[in-house]
Amino acid sequence: MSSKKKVITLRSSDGEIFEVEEAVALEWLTIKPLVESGCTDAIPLPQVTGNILAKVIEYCKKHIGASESEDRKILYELESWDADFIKVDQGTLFDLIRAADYLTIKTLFEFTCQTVADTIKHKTIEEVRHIFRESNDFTPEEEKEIRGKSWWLQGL
Amino acid sequence: MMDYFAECGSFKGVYEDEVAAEEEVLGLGFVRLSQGLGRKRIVISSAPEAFPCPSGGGFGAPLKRQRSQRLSLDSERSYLESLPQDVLIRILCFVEHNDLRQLFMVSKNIRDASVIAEQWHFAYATPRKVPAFRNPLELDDSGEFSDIEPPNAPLRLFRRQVTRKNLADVTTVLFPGVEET
Repeated sequence: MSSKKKVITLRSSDGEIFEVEEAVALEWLTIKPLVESGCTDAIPLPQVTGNILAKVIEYCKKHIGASESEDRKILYELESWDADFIKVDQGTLFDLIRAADYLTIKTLFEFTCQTVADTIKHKTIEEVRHIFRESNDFTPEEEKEIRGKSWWLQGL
Repeated sequence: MMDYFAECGSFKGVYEDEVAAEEEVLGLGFVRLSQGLGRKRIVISSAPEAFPCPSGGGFGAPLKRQRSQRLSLDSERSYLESLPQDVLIRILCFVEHNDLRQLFMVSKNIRDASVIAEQWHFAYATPRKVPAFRNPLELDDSGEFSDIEPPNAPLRLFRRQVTRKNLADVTTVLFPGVEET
Protein backbone atom coordinates (compact mmCIF):
# COMPACT_ATOMS: atom_id res chain seq x y z
CA MET A 1 0.00 0.00 0.00
CA SER A 2 1.26 3.42 -0.82
CA SER A 3 1.36 6.00 1.90
CA LYS A 4 0.10 8.89 -0.18
CA LYS A 5 -3.59 9.65 -0.09
CA LYS A 6 -5.34 7.64 -2.70
CA VAL A 7 -8.85 8.20 -3.87
CA ILE A 8 -11.19 5.33 -4.54
CA THR A 9 -14.04 5.76 -6.95
CA LEU A 10 -17.36 4.13 -6.21
CA ARG A 11 -20.45 3.88 -8.33
CA SER A 12 -23.86 3.47 -6.75
CA SER A 13 -26.71 1.45 -8.22
CA ASP A 14 -28.21 4.52 -9.85
CA GLY A 15 -24.94 5.43 -11.47
CA GLU A 16 -23.77 8.20 -9.16
CA ILE A 17 -20.04 8.46 -8.77
CA PHE A 18 -18.48 8.97 -5.35
CA GLU A 19 -14.89 9.48 -4.43
CA VAL A 20 -13.59 8.45 -1.03
CA GLU A 21 -10.18 8.32 0.50
CA GLU A 22 -8.52 4.99 0.56
CA ALA A 23 -8.47 4.97 4.36
CA VAL A 24 -12.26 5.20 4.40
CA ALA A 25 -12.71 2.48 1.82
CA LEU A 26 -10.43 0.16 3.76
CA GLU A 27 -12.97 0.15 6.57
CA TRP A 28 -15.43 -1.47 4.23
CA LEU A 29 -14.46 -5.07 4.37
CA THR A 30 -16.43 -6.05 1.30
CA ILE A 31 -14.37 -3.90 -1.01
CA LYS A 32 -11.19 -3.94 1.05
CA PRO A 33 -9.50 -6.64 -1.05
CA LEU A 34 -10.20 -4.66 -4.20
CA VAL A 35 -8.81 -1.50 -2.68
CA GLU A 36 -5.74 -3.26 -1.38
CA SER A 37 -5.01 -4.76 -4.72
CA GLY A 38 -4.76 -1.28 -6.16
CA CYS A 39 -7.92 -1.23 -8.17
CA THR A 40 -8.26 2.02 -10.08
CA ASP A 41 -11.59 1.47 -11.82
CA ALA A 42 -14.81 2.72 -10.34
CA ILE A 43 -16.08 0.02 -8.01
CA PRO A 44 -19.74 -0.66 -8.71
CA LEU A 45 -21.96 -1.13 -5.69
CA PRO A 46 -25.18 -2.40 -7.24
CA GLN A 47 -27.00 -2.86 -3.95
CA VAL A 48 -26.60 0.67 -2.64
CA THR A 49 -28.37 3.72 -3.98
CA GLY A 50 -26.70 7.08 -4.29
CA ASN A 51 -28.38 8.85 -1.39
CA ILE A 52 -27.70 5.95 0.98
CA LEU A 53 -24.10 5.69 -0.17
CA ALA A 54 -23.69 9.40 0.44
CA LYS A 55 -24.84 8.94 4.01
CA VAL A 56 -22.62 5.94 4.53
CA ILE A 57 -19.61 7.88 3.29
CA GLU A 58 -20.56 10.82 5.49
CA TYR A 59 -20.65 8.56 8.52
CA CYS A 60 -17.40 6.80 7.75
CA LYS A 61 -15.57 10.04 7.05
CA LYS A 62 -16.67 11.40 10.38
CA HIS A 63 -15.75 8.28 12.23
CA ILE A 64 -12.44 7.51 10.68
CA GLY A 65 -9.84 8.05 13.30
CA ALA A 66 -12.28 9.71 15.65
CA SER A 67 -13.62 6.49 17.11
CA GLU A 68 -10.28 5.50 18.53
CA SER A 69 -9.73 8.89 20.03
CA GLU A 70 -9.24 9.03 23.77
CA ASP A 71 -10.28 12.63 23.99
CA ARG A 72 -13.56 12.83 25.82
CA LYS A 73 -14.62 16.00 24.11
CA ILE A 74 -14.20 14.52 20.66
CA LEU A 75 -16.09 11.40 21.66
CA TYR A 76 -18.88 13.48 23.10
CA GLU A 77 -19.13 15.55 19.95
CA LEU A 78 -19.14 12.39 17.89
CA GLU A 79 -21.98 11.04 19.94
CA SER A 80 -24.15 14.07 19.38
CA TRP A 81 -23.22 14.07 15.72
CA ASP A 82 -24.33 10.44 15.54
CA ALA A 83 -27.61 11.32 17.19
CA ASP A 84 -28.28 13.89 14.49
CA PHE A 85 -27.08 11.59 11.77
CA ILE A 86 -29.52 8.86 12.68
CA LYS A 87 -32.55 11.12 12.69
CA VAL A 88 -33.86 9.65 9.48
CA ASP A 89 -37.07 7.96 8.54
CA GLN A 90 -37.37 4.27 9.11
CA GLY A 91 -37.00 3.32 5.49
CA THR A 92 -33.66 5.10 5.28
CA LEU A 93 -32.56 3.54 8.54
CA PHE A 94 -33.21 0.05 7.22
CA ASP A 95 -31.52 0.94 3.94
CA LEU A 96 -28.51 2.02 5.96
CA ILE A 97 -28.49 -1.29 7.79
CA ARG A 98 -28.67 -3.18 4.55
CA ALA A 99 -25.89 -1.07 3.07
CA ALA A 100 -23.70 -1.49 6.13
CA ASP A 101 -24.30 -5.21 6.03
CA TYR A 102 -23.56 -5.40 2.33
CA LEU A 103 -20.40 -3.33 2.60
CA THR A 104 -19.49 -4.96 5.93
CA ILE A 105 -18.94 -1.75 7.86
CA LYS A 106 -18.89 -2.93 11.43
CA THR A 107 -19.23 0.39 13.23
CA LEU A 108 -22.14 1.63 11.13
CA PHE A 109 -23.85 -1.73 11.25
CA GLU A 110 -23.69 -1.95 15.00
CA PHE A 111 -24.76 1.64 15.42
CA THR A 112 -27.80 1.31 13.17
CA CYS A 113 -28.81 -2.03 14.66
CA GLN A 114 -28.56 -0.58 18.12
CA THR A 115 -30.76 2.28 17.04
CA VAL A 116 -33.43 -0.10 15.82
CA ALA A 117 -33.13 -2.25 18.91
CA ASP A 118 -33.55 0.83 21.09
CA THR A 119 -36.83 1.69 19.42
CA ILE A 120 -38.30 -1.69 20.31
CA LYS A 121 -36.91 -1.78 23.81
CA HIS A 122 -39.46 -1.84 26.59
CA LYS A 123 -42.37 -1.90 24.20
CA THR A 124 -45.43 -4.11 24.29
CA ILE A 125 -46.18 -6.59 21.56
CA GLU A 126 -48.74 -4.29 20.01
CA GLU A 127 -46.36 -1.36 20.00
CA VAL A 128 -43.63 -3.38 18.30
CA ARG A 129 -46.13 -4.53 15.69
CA HIS A 130 -47.13 -0.96 15.09
CA ILE A 131 -43.56 0.32 14.81
CA PHE A 132 -42.56 -2.21 12.22
CA ARG A 133 -45.93 -2.45 10.51
CA GLU A 134 -45.85 -6.08 11.38
CA SER A 135 -49.12 -7.97 11.45
CA ASN A 136 -50.13 -10.71 13.78
CA ASP A 137 -49.86 -13.77 11.59
CA PHE A 138 -50.36 -16.31 14.35
CA THR A 139 -53.54 -18.31 14.35
CA PRO A 140 -55.44 -18.13 17.64
CA GLU A 141 -54.40 -21.70 18.42
CA GLU A 142 -50.73 -20.94 17.87
CA GLU A 143 -50.97 -17.82 19.96
CA LYS A 144 -52.59 -19.75 22.76
CA GLU A 145 -49.90 -22.37 22.55
CA ILE A 146 -47.10 -19.81 22.75
CA ARG A 147 -48.72 -18.06 25.64
CA GLY A 148 -49.22 -21.37 27.37
CA LYS A 149 -45.61 -22.34 26.85
CA SER A 150 -44.17 -19.08 28.02
CA TRP A 151 -45.05 -18.56 31.61
CA TRP A 152 -43.42 -15.16 31.55
CA LEU A 153 -45.98 -13.94 29.03
CA GLN A 154 -48.97 -14.68 31.22
CA GLY A 155 -49.29 -11.14 32.38
CA LEU A 156 -49.25 -9.61 28.93
CA MET B 1 -17.14 -12.25 6.71
CA MET B 2 -15.89 -13.24 3.32
CA ASP B 3 -19.07 -15.22 2.92
CA TYR B 4 -20.69 -12.01 1.90
CA PHE B 5 -19.16 -12.34 -1.46
CA ALA B 6 -20.88 -15.58 -2.00
CA GLU B 7 -24.19 -14.32 -0.78
CA CYS B 8 -24.49 -11.04 -2.55
CA GLY B 9 -26.57 -11.77 -5.56
CA SER B 10 -24.89 -9.47 -7.96
CA PHE B 11 -21.45 -10.87 -7.39
CA LYS B 12 -20.94 -13.62 -9.84
CA GLY B 13 -18.70 -16.60 -9.74
CA VAL B 14 -15.23 -16.39 -11.24
CA TYR B 15 -12.93 -13.79 -12.65
CA GLU B 16 -10.32 -15.65 -14.58
CA ASP B 17 -9.11 -13.99 -17.70
CA GLU B 18 -10.28 -16.70 -20.03
CA VAL B 19 -13.89 -16.13 -19.09
CA ALA B 20 -13.56 -12.40 -19.26
CA ALA B 21 -14.37 -12.32 -22.94
CA GLU B 22 -17.69 -14.04 -22.50
CA GLU B 23 -18.51 -11.85 -19.59
CA GLU B 24 -18.07 -8.74 -21.54
CA VAL B 25 -20.58 -10.10 -23.98
CA LEU B 26 -22.95 -10.52 -21.04
CA GLY B 27 -22.47 -6.93 -20.03
CA LEU B 28 -20.22 -7.61 -17.08
CA GLY B 29 -17.34 -5.35 -16.41
CA PHE B 30 -14.49 -6.69 -14.42
CA VAL B 31 -12.04 -5.30 -12.00
CA ARG B 32 -8.42 -6.25 -12.23
CA LEU B 33 -7.18 -8.06 -9.20
CA SER B 34 -3.59 -8.95 -8.70
CA GLN B 35 -4.14 -11.09 -5.66
CA GLY B 36 -6.43 -13.92 -4.83
CA LEU B 37 -9.36 -13.57 -2.54
CA GLY B 38 -9.08 -16.98 -1.01
CA ARG B 39 -11.61 -19.37 -2.37
CA LYS B 40 -14.23 -16.72 -3.04
CA ARG B 41 -13.69 -14.89 -6.26
CA ILE B 42 -15.70 -12.10 -7.58
CA VAL B 43 -16.62 -10.32 -10.72
CA ILE B 44 -18.69 -7.27 -10.33
CA SER B 45 -21.48 -6.61 -12.72
CA SER B 46 -21.15 -3.22 -14.31
CA ALA B 47 -24.71 -3.39 -15.56
CA PRO B 48 -26.85 -4.29 -12.57
CA GLU B 49 -30.03 -4.20 -14.57
CA ALA B 50 -28.68 -6.94 -16.80
CA PHE B 51 -29.16 -9.36 -13.95
CA PRO B 52 -32.29 -8.44 -12.10
CA CYS B 53 -31.63 -10.06 -8.79
CA PRO B 54 -33.98 -10.08 -5.85
CA SER B 55 -32.90 -7.57 -3.26
CA GLY B 56 -30.38 -9.26 -1.07
CA GLY B 57 -29.77 -12.23 -3.33
CA GLY B 58 -31.00 -15.60 -2.21
CA PHE B 59 -28.22 -17.10 -4.17
CA GLY B 60 -26.40 -20.03 -2.72
CA ALA B 61 -27.58 -19.15 0.74
CA PRO B 62 -30.18 -21.68 1.69
CA LEU B 63 -31.20 -20.31 5.06
CA LYS B 64 -30.10 -16.77 5.25
CA ARG B 65 -31.44 -14.79 2.36
CA GLN B 66 -34.69 -16.42 1.49
CA ARG B 67 -36.73 -13.86 3.30
CA SER B 68 -35.80 -10.94 1.15
CA GLN B 69 -36.39 -12.90 -1.98
CA ARG B 70 -39.94 -13.61 -1.01
CA LEU B 71 -40.52 -10.04 -0.02
CA SER B 72 -39.28 -8.43 -3.14
CA LEU B 73 -42.61 -9.49 -4.56
CA ASP B 74 -44.50 -6.82 -2.71
CA SER B 75 -42.78 -3.72 -1.50
CA GLU B 76 -45.52 -2.80 0.92
CA ARG B 77 -44.32 -5.31 3.46
CA SER B 78 -43.04 -4.25 6.82
CA TYR B 79 -39.57 -2.86 7.22
CA LEU B 80 -38.33 -5.63 9.43
CA GLU B 81 -39.44 -8.32 7.06
CA SER B 82 -37.69 -6.72 4.17
CA LEU B 83 -34.39 -7.43 5.87
CA PRO B 84 -32.55 -10.67 5.35
CA GLN B 85 -33.07 -12.94 8.29
CA ASP B 86 -29.46 -12.90 9.42
CA VAL B 87 -29.53 -9.12 9.63
CA LEU B 88 -32.77 -9.27 11.55
CA ILE B 89 -31.25 -11.72 14.00
CA ARG B 90 -28.32 -9.46 14.58
CA ILE B 91 -30.60 -6.51 15.23
CA LEU B 92 -32.48 -8.57 17.75
CA CYS B 93 -29.23 -9.39 19.49
CA PHE B 94 -29.08 -5.74 20.52
CA VAL B 95 -32.25 -5.76 22.55
CA GLU B 96 -32.36 -6.81 26.16
CA HIS B 97 -33.43 -10.12 27.58
CA ASN B 98 -36.80 -8.88 28.73
CA ASP B 99 -37.68 -7.50 25.33
CA LEU B 100 -36.88 -10.78 23.65
CA ARG B 101 -39.75 -12.43 25.50
CA GLN B 102 -42.23 -10.11 23.87
CA LEU B 103 -40.70 -10.40 20.45
CA PHE B 104 -41.70 -14.05 20.43
CA MET B 105 -45.28 -12.91 20.15
CA VAL B 106 -45.00 -10.27 17.47
CA SER B 107 -45.11 -12.34 14.31
CA LYS B 108 -43.84 -15.61 12.96
CA ASN B 109 -40.96 -14.00 11.16
CA ILE B 110 -39.75 -12.19 14.23
CA ARG B 111 -40.39 -15.21 16.37
CA ASP B 112 -38.17 -17.37 14.19
CA ALA B 113 -35.46 -14.75 14.31
CA SER B 114 -35.83 -14.30 18.06
CA VAL B 115 -35.45 -18.01 18.66
CA ILE B 116 -32.16 -18.00 16.76
CA ALA B 117 -31.06 -14.76 18.40
CA GLU B 118 -31.67 -16.39 21.74
CA GLN B 119 -29.50 -19.34 20.85
CA TRP B 120 -26.78 -17.16 19.38
CA HIS B 121 -26.57 -14.38 21.81
CA PHE B 122 -28.91 -14.35 24.74
CA ALA B 123 -28.06 -17.79 26.00
CA TYR B 124 -24.53 -16.50 26.57
CA ALA B 125 -25.19 -12.95 27.70
CA THR B 126 -25.85 -11.85 31.21
CA PRO B 127 -29.09 -9.92 31.57
CA ARG B 128 -28.58 -6.34 32.44
CA LYS B 129 -29.47 -5.46 35.97
CA VAL B 130 -32.87 -3.84 36.13
CA PRO B 131 -34.02 -2.38 39.43
CA ALA B 132 -37.13 -4.12 40.65
CA PHE B 133 -40.43 -2.26 40.81
CA ARG B 134 -39.29 0.62 38.71
CA ASN B 135 -41.00 1.69 35.57
CA PRO B 136 -38.56 0.57 32.88
CA LEU B 137 -39.49 3.55 30.70
CA GLU B 138 -37.80 5.83 33.14
CA LEU B 139 -34.59 3.94 32.80
CA ASP B 140 -33.26 5.89 29.88
CA ASP B 141 -31.00 7.98 32.01
CA SER B 142 -29.84 5.16 34.17
CA GLY B 143 -26.91 5.60 36.42
CA GLU B 144 -28.90 7.66 38.83
CA PHE B 145 -29.86 4.42 40.46
CA SER B 146 -26.38 3.34 41.17
CA ASP B 147 -25.97 5.54 44.21
CA ILE B 148 -29.42 5.02 45.65
CA GLU B 149 -29.37 3.15 48.92
CA PRO B 150 -31.55 0.06 49.05
CA PRO B 151 -34.70 0.84 51.02
CA ASN B 152 -35.07 -0.51 54.53
CA ALA B 153 -31.50 -1.61 54.65
CA PRO B 154 -30.70 -2.72 58.16
CA LEU B 155 -28.60 -0.23 59.98
CA ARG B 156 -25.31 -1.59 61.02
CA LEU B 157 -24.82 -1.05 64.70
CA PHE B 158 -21.77 -1.57 66.76
CA ARG B 159 -22.12 -4.19 69.43
CA ARG B 160 -22.76 -2.51 72.68
CA GLN B 161 -20.08 -2.91 75.17
CA VAL B 162 -20.88 -5.30 77.92
CA THR B 163 -20.91 -3.46 81.18
CA ARG B 164 -21.57 -4.75 84.58
CA LYS B 165 -24.80 -2.82 84.63
CA ASN B 166 -26.45 -4.29 81.57
CA LEU B 167 -24.98 -7.65 82.36
CA ALA B 168 -27.15 -7.58 85.42
CA ASP B 169 -30.22 -7.34 83.14
CA VAL B 170 -29.59 -10.66 81.52
CA THR B 171 -28.22 -12.66 84.37
CA THR B 172 -30.27 -14.60 86.70
CA VAL B 173 -29.51 -16.73 89.64
CA LEU B 174 -29.57 -20.31 88.53
CA PHE B 175 -29.18 -22.06 91.83
CA PRO B 176 -30.82 -20.01 94.50
CA GLY B 177 -29.69 -20.83 97.94
CA VAL B 178 -26.30 -22.29 96.96
CA GLU B 179 -24.33 -19.23 97.90
CA GLU B 180 -25.96 -18.88 101.23
CA THR B 181 -24.95 -22.24 102.49
